[in-house]
Amino acid sequence: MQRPLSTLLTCQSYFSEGRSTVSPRRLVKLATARGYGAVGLADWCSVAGAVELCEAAGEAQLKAVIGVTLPVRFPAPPRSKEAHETFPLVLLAKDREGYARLCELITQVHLSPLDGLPLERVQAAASHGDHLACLTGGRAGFPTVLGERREIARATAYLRTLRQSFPFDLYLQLFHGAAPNERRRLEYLRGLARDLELPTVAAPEVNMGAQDEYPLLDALTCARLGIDVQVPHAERPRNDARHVGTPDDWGALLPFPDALLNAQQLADTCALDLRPKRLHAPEPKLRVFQTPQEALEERAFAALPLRYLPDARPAAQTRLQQELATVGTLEMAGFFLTAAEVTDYCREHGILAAGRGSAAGSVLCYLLGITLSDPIKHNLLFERFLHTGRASMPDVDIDIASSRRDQVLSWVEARWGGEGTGEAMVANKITYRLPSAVQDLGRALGLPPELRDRLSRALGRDYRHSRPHRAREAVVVFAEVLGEAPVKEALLSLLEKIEPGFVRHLAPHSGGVVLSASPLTHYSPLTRSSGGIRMLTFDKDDVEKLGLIKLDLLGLRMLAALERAREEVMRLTGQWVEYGDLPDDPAVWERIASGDTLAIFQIESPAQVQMTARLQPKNMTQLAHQIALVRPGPIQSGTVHPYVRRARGEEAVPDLPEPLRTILAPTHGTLMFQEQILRIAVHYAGYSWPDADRFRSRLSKTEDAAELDELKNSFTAGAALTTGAFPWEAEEMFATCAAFRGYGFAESHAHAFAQHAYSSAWMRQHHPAAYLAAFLTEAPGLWPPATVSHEARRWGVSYGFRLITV
Amino acid sequence: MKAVQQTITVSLTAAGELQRMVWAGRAYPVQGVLDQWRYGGRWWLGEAPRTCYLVQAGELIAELHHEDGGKIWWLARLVD
Repeated sequence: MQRPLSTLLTCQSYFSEGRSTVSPRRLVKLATARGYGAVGLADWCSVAGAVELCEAAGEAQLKAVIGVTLPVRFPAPPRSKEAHETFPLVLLAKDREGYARLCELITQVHLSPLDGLPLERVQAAASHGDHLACLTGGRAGFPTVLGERREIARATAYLRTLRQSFPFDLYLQLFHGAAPNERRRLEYLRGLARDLELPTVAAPEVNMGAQDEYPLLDALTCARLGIDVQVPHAERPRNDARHVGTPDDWGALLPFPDALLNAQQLADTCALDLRPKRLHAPEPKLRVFQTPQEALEERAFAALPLRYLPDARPAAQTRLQQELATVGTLEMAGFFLTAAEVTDYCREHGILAAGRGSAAGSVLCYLLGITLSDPIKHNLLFERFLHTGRASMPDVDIDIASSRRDQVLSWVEARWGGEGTGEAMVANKITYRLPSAVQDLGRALGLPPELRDRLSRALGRDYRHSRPHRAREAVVVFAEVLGEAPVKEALLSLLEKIEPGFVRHLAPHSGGVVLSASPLTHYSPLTRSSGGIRMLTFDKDDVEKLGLIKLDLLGLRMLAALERAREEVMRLTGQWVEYGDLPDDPAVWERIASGDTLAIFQIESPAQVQMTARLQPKNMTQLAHQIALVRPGPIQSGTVHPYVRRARGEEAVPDLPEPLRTILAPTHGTLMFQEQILRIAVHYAGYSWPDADRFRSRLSKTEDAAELDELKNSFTAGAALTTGAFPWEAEEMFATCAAFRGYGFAESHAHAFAQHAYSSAWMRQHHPAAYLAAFLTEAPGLWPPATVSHEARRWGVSYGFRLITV
Repeated sequence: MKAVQQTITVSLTAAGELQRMVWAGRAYPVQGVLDQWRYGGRWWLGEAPRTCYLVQAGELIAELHHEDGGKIWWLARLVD
């Protein structure tokens, strides 16, 4: 009887950069549909897909195996031209410790100038205990390559060397690439294993979701190798065999019961979920015997009377106690103390810094001095920031005066960097858009650079941000540039096969810094970007899922301008301007309301000037609404015009059913903020806060129509149960939320920005010369200096040139 | 191996296995499939991947293939 292959141990995903056509999530989806029990990922020098794999496998109740394919430098025989020859080895992590070893090995590959990892490093990693399993590699592995060269004695010697390091965990990998002489090759590999008394394992190399992705795999490989499809190369795929397939098909191709059984046993042994049950915060500075929670409570309660007047204090205290209880449950006190340590450093060194984003909804952050605006005053939601169902770190984004950001980053590296592995930037997953895909795949098809550039330019603003799978929508542009040449159809059909969100490469994030008490290689490999920045190979979402603390330390030029202006005021008048505590000045509001907003943060663009004149904001809330209104989210969801008409009293607010009426009342019955989506999900559709958070996050990111349908169905069902909403009502509400997508502000973020906008307007009103000088020096705005200085004459500021002789 | 690249007639058994090939007016019973593999093809020219067979047919050792979905068989090469 034919046995099926129950597990795919050595799949590669698009994190192998040009070696695969499939995402970890789709691999899991396909494996589940075909009836596999486990999926293993062994990307080329990367575990960047590990978190996605664990998450998707967890949802599908599949086992996840995490491994890596590493280029290893084996010593060449005496009198060879080269001293070493590089062959791939597959290493699988048997446990968390094994995963950390993999990360260390990958880090060594990334940070080393050599083309592979010296064999001694692999031996050293194996010597730390029984944490890794080693597979000998597929088509490019040394047993196969040396067998084809008839250097069997050398292959045997390498196997003996590896067996000393992996006495019970070295497997001869059996694969089937549907190439000529495959049967003989398998017989040879099994014979080799028998001679050396080594076990074999059935581990086909899988790089595609389906067979029809072969052209895409070939084109991506060509793009990676920098060749076009006419040029033969050993690394190009020969055929469409490396797809997910079915357990029975692989079982028939690799009909060796021992190898099939070993695959199953390895999957059982190496099944691993990286996602932690609790979060890992770096060590804050504490007194002896003091816990982080005690230190946090002590500091927060001490700040309470300083920040809140007696009449507001009881409400603030109640809210603070709730937030502290949540923080205590999640054991996240260390996180808050660390974030506060960064803003303390900024304050102590006169660096203007302010928290933004969802953190502005937290009273605790306000009391710790991380954020500047009072969440109670603006009715901001804490649950957008943190709730007890959250297993990932909350976002704390800190804007820092851009001119001093490097100083803060250097201090952070010195404070937490330790031996150089406690601090690193998070990565950004750079995904394919039409122009980048046209460049890569066009090159593979042999399109000359000028034509590729012309096509990229012709895609223009309309299609620049489109995903490649929607290339047919731009067929007119393709026809215009390429005419009816056959390459047009070949390019379009390749583009259509690219999965939405296909990751092309990793690049450093603009400001996300991860801090850790233990070496970061315990969680992720480290690498250097082309600009020399040390970074992880996970993005901000993955880092959160790994339970690591991430701070976004973002440079903001306007803060640099405000800081410079404050110094100037101090120098000239001896007066210190406290930006978090500026008086409410009607003259400032009057000037804003008149549309005189040039050189003011966030509201100086023509669209914002026009909006300012129409809305005439008179307080911080109205200003925050205006800043949030001119954004793609509200524009796409049709919020702008209804909001303006209702705010101006030209149209009545529609009579919405509860709880929508209460949730949308502050924004005149329109959907403007992410927090409102959360509140709707909880109070209207009956979600728990953690589910609502997931709903909002998935709604903003998904590009999959099936997933969107799934979200809609659960939303409408929830709304019917919770509020008795008719399906068409709930669907209408869902459509509004879906149109909003990820391009809207969090309310707390809008308030943080409104604070800076008001600060800049206040400085312009009261210290115009100092503000102008700072503004021209730091150039935070969108208008050219000549326009700003010309405008400044209206402010009563005149300036001249002074000749300085050096 | 000698390149031939001619169309031939191939008959299959009920189970879909190769039974007989007719080439140059002569029938050769297929005694066994010695090897089998997939060839990716020049997809950028519109070629589809295909399965290739190395068969023992009478005194011939022949490489055959047919294009996916098509009924036309090709005798690609013969072992000298």
